[in-house]
Amino acid sequence: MSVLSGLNTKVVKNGDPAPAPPASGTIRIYNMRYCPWAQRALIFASLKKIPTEVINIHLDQKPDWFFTKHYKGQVPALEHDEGKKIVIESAVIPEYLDDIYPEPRIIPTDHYEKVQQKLLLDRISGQLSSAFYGVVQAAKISDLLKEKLVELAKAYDTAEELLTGDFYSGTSKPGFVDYLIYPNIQRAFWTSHIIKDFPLKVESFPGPNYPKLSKWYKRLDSIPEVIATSQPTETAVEFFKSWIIGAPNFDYGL
Amino acid sequence: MVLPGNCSTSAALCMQFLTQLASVAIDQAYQPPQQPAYNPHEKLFVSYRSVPPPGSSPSSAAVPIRFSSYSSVGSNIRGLNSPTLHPGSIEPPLTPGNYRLYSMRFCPYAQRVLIYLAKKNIPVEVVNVNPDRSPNWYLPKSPIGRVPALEINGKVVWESNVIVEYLDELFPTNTILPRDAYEKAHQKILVERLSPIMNALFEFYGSSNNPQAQRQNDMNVHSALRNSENLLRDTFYGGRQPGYADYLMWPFLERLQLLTMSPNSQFRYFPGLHYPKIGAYIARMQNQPEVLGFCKHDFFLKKTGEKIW
Repeated sequence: MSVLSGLNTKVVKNGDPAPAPPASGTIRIYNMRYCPWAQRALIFASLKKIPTEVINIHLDQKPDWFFTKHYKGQVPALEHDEGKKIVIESAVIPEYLDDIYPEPRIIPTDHYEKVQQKLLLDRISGQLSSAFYGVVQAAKISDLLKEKLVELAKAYDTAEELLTGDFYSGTSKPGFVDYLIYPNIQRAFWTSHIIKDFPLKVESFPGPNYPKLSKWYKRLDSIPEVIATSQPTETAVEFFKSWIIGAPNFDYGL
Repeated sequence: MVLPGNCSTSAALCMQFLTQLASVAIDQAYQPPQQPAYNPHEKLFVSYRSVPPPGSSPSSAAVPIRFSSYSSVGSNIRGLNSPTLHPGSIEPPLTPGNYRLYSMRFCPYAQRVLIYLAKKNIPVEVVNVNPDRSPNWYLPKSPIGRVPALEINGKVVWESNVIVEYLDELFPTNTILPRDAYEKAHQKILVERLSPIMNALFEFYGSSNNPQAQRQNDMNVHSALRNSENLLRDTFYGGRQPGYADYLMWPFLERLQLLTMSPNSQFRYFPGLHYPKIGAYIARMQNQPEVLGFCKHDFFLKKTGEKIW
């Protein structure tokens, strides 16, 4: 039983009324079902079994009231304490949730180990996501696409190299880095169904060039609390097709 | 998106400009001795009270060192203006239990850490390295030879924002980040929201010689200043006292004053009459002891203008 209610509800858009403040004991996450940054917040809420109400936002026709939750109108935004507290930024929200809901603790308590996880995240995440979005933006400009696909392969080479055990946490269980980079890697999996000559392969994703990452992805993909935040591959692929051509269908599949 | 927290080879324009500044400093070093020192606080950087390493130190990443909290601000930092180490140099020996900061004198990210160290009065040795062409012994410590990096007992931490939070955790009695989870989160969010200041500075480094590009940069600086003015709701971004957001953003705001030296910029005064809160804020920050010790203001305005333009 997932603690996330409203995950698969239609997006609210310009003209829709502002929701009432979240109930006491409940947090609210403003989301878009296919947004990898918002999924970070959902994963942490799911792992910690925090009763969570999800509201999906139409990212091209944002409601005016949503800018009181996030000054740029981006997701994720976390609202709780009956609407009195709002926290934004996909890198800040997970740490905040770990502070105010410490069970189970996901970020190491040892200061040095915590620092090592943050530095590892910094090295992997920025490279993976910028390479991925570089590919997506170049998808319609074929002469630029080849170059971007090379960058993507390099980013995954680095991710493979930095994975020295079963998980980036360095322990027998996934940790901070694993949960925070998983969403963007899942997006690359979805996109591997769409773009020709994609260096990451659909079968045993990301494919034979990345043996450790392939095992890692399979493990993360089977965690119930992570699955609870995810979308099925078929609908996700169709959404990504619509997004790549510039006409995203935020309610695809609903 | 997480902001960069270091100077790296990819910031070529930043490094190119900062290298020019370094040449200014070298020129000044060869000035005749009767030339008055530009910085009356410079003597603080060479004073140092010996702090013995802790006895029977356990093998943990870092051990808090007992030190006096009554020495003058900045006196805990030695080697601030030590010569830069290049390829071919020998690694200075590191004493167990001692902190070392690998730095570059004009790096704004390293300055964040120095301000934190001064505020928290943590004894530290500064070793300046060339981030563009690092000594071989430095590369295993920090990816691609970036600065700043903090080392103790062979363990190294890099990324300025990660280092400063680490210092707050190691020395919690004088923590700068709020302990309250919500307030802490909002200081980090504030740094993100103030980041147009950083972006405008790096853009300026690339645009200052091109009149058309500088016109666009001036507009972006105005936009960043309007944003900063709106976000300043107290004496400092940290509240009544400077805090995390102030220290992490100050090195970039300080450097933006260079705009007044560019003939292509419309800024004759910084920040100008339209930003009264930021103007007063700059004056207050310049007078904070932990900031004053590392102030580049007068140095930039007096020396850089003469040299570069």
